[in-house]
Amino acid sequence: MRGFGVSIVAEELAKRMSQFGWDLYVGTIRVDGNFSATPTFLINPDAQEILKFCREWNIEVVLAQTTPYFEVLPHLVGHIPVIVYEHGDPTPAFFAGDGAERERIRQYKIQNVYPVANKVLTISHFLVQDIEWPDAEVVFNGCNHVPDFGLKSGQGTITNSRPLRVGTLMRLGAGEAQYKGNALFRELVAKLRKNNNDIEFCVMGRGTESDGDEWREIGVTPILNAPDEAKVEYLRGLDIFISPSMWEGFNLPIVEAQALGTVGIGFDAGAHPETALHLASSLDDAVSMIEHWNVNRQHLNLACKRAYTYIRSQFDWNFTAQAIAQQCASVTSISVTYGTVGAEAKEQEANTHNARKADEGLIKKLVRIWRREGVIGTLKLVQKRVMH
Amino acid sequence: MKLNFSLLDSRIGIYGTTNSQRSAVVTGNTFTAPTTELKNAAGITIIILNLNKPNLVRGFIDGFQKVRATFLDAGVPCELIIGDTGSTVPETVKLLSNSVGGMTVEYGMKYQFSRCNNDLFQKVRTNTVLFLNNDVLINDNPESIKMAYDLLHSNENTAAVSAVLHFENGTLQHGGIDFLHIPSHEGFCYHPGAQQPWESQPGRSFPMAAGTGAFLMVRSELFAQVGGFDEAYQAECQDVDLCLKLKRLGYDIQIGDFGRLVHLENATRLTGEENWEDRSLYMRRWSGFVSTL
Repeated sequence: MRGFGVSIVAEELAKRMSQFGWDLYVGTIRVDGNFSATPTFLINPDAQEILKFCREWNIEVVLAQTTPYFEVLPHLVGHIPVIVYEHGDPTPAFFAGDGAERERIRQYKIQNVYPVANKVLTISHFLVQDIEWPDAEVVFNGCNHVPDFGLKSGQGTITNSRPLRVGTLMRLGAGEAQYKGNALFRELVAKLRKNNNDIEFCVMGRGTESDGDEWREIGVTPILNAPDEAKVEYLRGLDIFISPSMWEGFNLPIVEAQALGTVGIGFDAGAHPETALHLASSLDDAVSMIEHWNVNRQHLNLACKRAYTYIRSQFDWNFTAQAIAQQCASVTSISVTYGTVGAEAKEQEANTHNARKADEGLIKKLVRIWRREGVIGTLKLVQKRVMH
Repeated sequence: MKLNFSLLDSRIGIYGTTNSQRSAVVTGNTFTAPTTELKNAAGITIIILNLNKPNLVRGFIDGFQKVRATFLDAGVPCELIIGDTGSTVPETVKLLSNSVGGMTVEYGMKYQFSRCNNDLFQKVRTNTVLFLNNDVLINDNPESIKMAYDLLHSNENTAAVSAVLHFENGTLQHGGIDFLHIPSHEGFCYHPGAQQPWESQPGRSFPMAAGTGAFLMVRSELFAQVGGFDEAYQAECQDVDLCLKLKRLGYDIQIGDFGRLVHLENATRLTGEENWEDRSLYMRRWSGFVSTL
């Protein structure tokens, strides 16, 4: 799993896809302890291994979410329907060290993966442009993996009785500092301090103690390597969440913050226009909002309410799962051979193909089709297969 | 009410620029910092941009003198700043050179709505500023501006006031700006009721999310706080953007019916004059937010 976001997407889809007639099997190159909702399989990004897995589990569609699985997809085409489920890559120019390699990976996908995939999906309209694939279709992520505590009311209402709490969530190490906007957040803190605003600043994220020290030095409280439960509490407890990121394919944290009743400010970069209700066109624009809400907490409460209502109405994992199910269904007319790649595979492929017809997987598959298509739809499909 | 969607097309793509370009704007900090001088003295400054058009100049200078009289009667200072963007017509040059109480002229401006108005705003010393088009005929209704001023200051949560404006034939030119709520163009702005008959009820006001820059009165402190008109817009949408920035903070925008007030603007923008980059920028910045209003 690369990054928090991708694992959340897989987990939420795994929970919900079955109600739309699909079982989701998750393959990954490594597993961390945070992912437990569904059986997860360690599968190397190797076409042979993936096809073998598909054959064993009667998989009908392969949905790739990240590199290095994207790069394998061209080798699967013709054997099984493949869908690119693109979460995007940060603009290579933000990476001084490996920018060229990142650009190479990007170009490889544009030239070799997207053209042969049966579908290309993205998680934002921004990504459709960013991956330079206009035919890509958008399936938004959801927000309801975080609990719904409702609006901040009663004791949670933001009053003038205490300093404003402004925070962000980012990876604290130097590697992604430029695209995650670490310097921009520092500049924001400095500007707000210069104007004598009484504000507490904090930053949560993965990093080392020495990363944390860099924030402590400027009076920002770092919260390092916290578990998911702490993240929810943190985002709910902030008065304003700000994402200084300069690239986001979606930005789950800012969506989570807003879904937890905290206003989220994002800059006009990446997919923020789609996911940050309060979009700042510049640093000063963000400062303007924060300074105003610091002195007018009634207006801040209104902003929180707008953000919460908007995000909860826009992003729902049930819609996501339904849309993914529909996209998978749309490619199932493509025949599945489970053919393996390489010379030795042909015999194995023929044997497997024959065996598959008779095994219990067929019944399982029929049940899935019946749940998805209904009785008439299933009969039509069966008739079609028989006639064929 | 029938909506005219003829101006909408696929060119409103919200991501007309690359992420690198967009992030460069954010981090480049291109914002025009407003003057830090306090603008808390009660009073109003009217800002008008002008190029030639001597008949209009004569009208708004005469109108300003009447407007000023209504303010001075109430003990409220009233000033006019004209931004001349290169007038060469001798009659206009002469009119602008006349000495009129409370009026100053800034010469040599190069027209760009946002930048010119922001530059002129630096000279404002009053707590209220009115951005006014030169073709709004205040000479025929000088009381309208004092009515707008009173409306603005009647409620501290009101950040800006715009006016109901009429075409010469009496139909509605502007009665506030509203937003489309259709999936393909969620948030696109339009003038509801335009060119329709309007039953005037002077003194009535109503909240809207935005009003036209042809007549836009704003609290100076708030105009400065939100950074003025965004100069990224070349030709369109600056006024709506400004109103939405105020709305986003939590304030209200009011539209006032101050009686017949004519705006000579053409009925519709001519095909080909639309600025699609501005529209895309506006849609990117605001289509989400306006869906919450």
